[in-house]
Amino acid sequence: MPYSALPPPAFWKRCRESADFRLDAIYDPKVTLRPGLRVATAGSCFAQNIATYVRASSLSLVEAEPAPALMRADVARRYGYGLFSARYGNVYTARQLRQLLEDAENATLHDAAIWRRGDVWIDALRPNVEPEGFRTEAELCAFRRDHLRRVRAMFDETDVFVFTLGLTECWADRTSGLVFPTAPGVLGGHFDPDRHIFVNQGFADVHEDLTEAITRMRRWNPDLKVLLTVSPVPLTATASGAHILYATTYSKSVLRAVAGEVAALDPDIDYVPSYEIITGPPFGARFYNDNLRTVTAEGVATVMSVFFGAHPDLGGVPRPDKVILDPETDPAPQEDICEEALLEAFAPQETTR
Amino acid sequence: MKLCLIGDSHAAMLIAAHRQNPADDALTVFAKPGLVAEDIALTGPLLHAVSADMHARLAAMGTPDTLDLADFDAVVIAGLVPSAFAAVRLQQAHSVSGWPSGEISVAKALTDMPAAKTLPLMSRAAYVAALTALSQTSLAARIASAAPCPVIVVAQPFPSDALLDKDGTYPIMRRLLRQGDGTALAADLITAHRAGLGALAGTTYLPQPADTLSHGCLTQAVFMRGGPRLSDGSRQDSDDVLHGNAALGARLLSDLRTRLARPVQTTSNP
Repeated sequence: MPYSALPPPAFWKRCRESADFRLDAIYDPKVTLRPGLRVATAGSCFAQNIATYVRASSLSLVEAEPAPALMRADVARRYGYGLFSARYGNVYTARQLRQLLEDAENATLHDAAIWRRGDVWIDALRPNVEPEGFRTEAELCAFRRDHLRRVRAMFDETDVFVFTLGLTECWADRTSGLVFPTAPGVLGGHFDPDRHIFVNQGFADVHEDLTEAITRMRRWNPDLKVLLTVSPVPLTATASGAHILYATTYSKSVLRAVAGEVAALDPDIDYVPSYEIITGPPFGARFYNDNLRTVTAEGVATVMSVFFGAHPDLGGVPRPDKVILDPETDPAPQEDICEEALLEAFAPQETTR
Repeated sequence: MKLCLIGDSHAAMLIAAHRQNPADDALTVFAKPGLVAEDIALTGPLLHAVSADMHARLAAMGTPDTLDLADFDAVVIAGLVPSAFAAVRLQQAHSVSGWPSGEISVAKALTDMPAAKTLPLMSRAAYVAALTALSQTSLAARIASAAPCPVIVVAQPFPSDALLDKDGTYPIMRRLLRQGDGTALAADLITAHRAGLGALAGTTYLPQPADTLSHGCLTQAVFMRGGPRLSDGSRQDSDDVLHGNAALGARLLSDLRTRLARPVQTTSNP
């Protein structure tokens, strides 16, 4: 009987008998992490937690665009510092990651990614990192080229790249194919149905984009290891025409399947099951806030406990300040910086029936 | 009018100016060199000395260990907000776009120059926001928030231009001045002070008079030379470039009186 020799974590009932569903066995890393390894992060809003924990750990967080000395953490986050290893803002889709790396190769600019908002200029590919926008188009272009060069250089000093896949849905410029982290018109620019098109990537699209992105990273840094995760944060809104739960399930299923496939075929790419820990039925909605969308500090801590617990050489689970905030004394804990969450403002008001 | 002067070593120039021209001001001094949050506690409008050093300083000045800020017509806070040196430190590893040097960096970034050879760009908005946040969370802001009377904040003076004669000191400040960024730095620091402190009800930020400045973000040496010490009123070391003297104190005191528009009387004065 092939099942008779399997260990307890292979059986639902045996996991159910354990208070923590045997989470210590859910992640068996094939990429070993040691203290001092240089880790760079990117991805969706949820990935911001990874940088926070890595920074507090014995790993070394690569900071290609560090916050200025003395800048308070809340200000730094508002201006895109410290959220990830560089100021690219949230990289929600594999297409966005691929595009970022392609642009970083030669510090390439795109006319379609230069937006206006009133009198200021908005970098459409990271519209939230300068909340007040740029004064001139030249300033925007200079900042973007400076940023791209530092992103490219980041991979020369990175041992492990952690990427969190967040969405399959995005908006693209029809002509150039460029995708944006947020719909035109939300943080800048204006939506033009003749120019902008909704894209909901399937398995093949995401797989190709992710594979191309990793291939490019490896061309720059052949020894690079990659850790993939999938954000457990549901979509704020869907433009697919489907119910939000249907759209979320589709999106996360595709991302989870691609991450698993890509990791399974490469010894230096690993999948970290944060998605399963947060969304899995064993924990109900325990790891979500009341909106059933954003993840609680306990949820994040549980994921990190599993992650760091699987790498004993790292010396235990770090305790970043963000997590140990006392809600009694800090009524407004830090929230993730998330352009996608802004879509909530477009929801129609409830009408009395 | 009764005034309460709270601050660090930069309170000394105002005390010296007041000695020279007390008018009818009543000045109670609650100050200590290097005053930090751990030296005091606030309970509503009550300001308490907490550290042993603070107790000792107040005893020497004849000031009670606890003051009820409601007993005063106005509170003057000297120092205790981000200084020009904090403003320098904030930008020292970046290039602020909109500043003269930043405009050069922006132009370079548009060429093919490798990023490794340049400082990363920082927007002026981010720079001012960072300084504003430091002002909002400063000890001066905390004290001002607790005061039930009008508050005037006088920042640490910009350093003396005598530092230009001292080779090898303050290299980052010198670099900034060489690049022509002094005026921009001072403007942004004042903007941040105004935004961070001016938003507090009843609080006024009193900027350093423009005609006391040089090189944009330095103070003319004539307003800094021979500044008094807070501890005993003796002069600062001859090479001190950080503290204003009685002349600068007099200018600020005059502006302060204009703002308050009423004379005051002394209750304690070291």
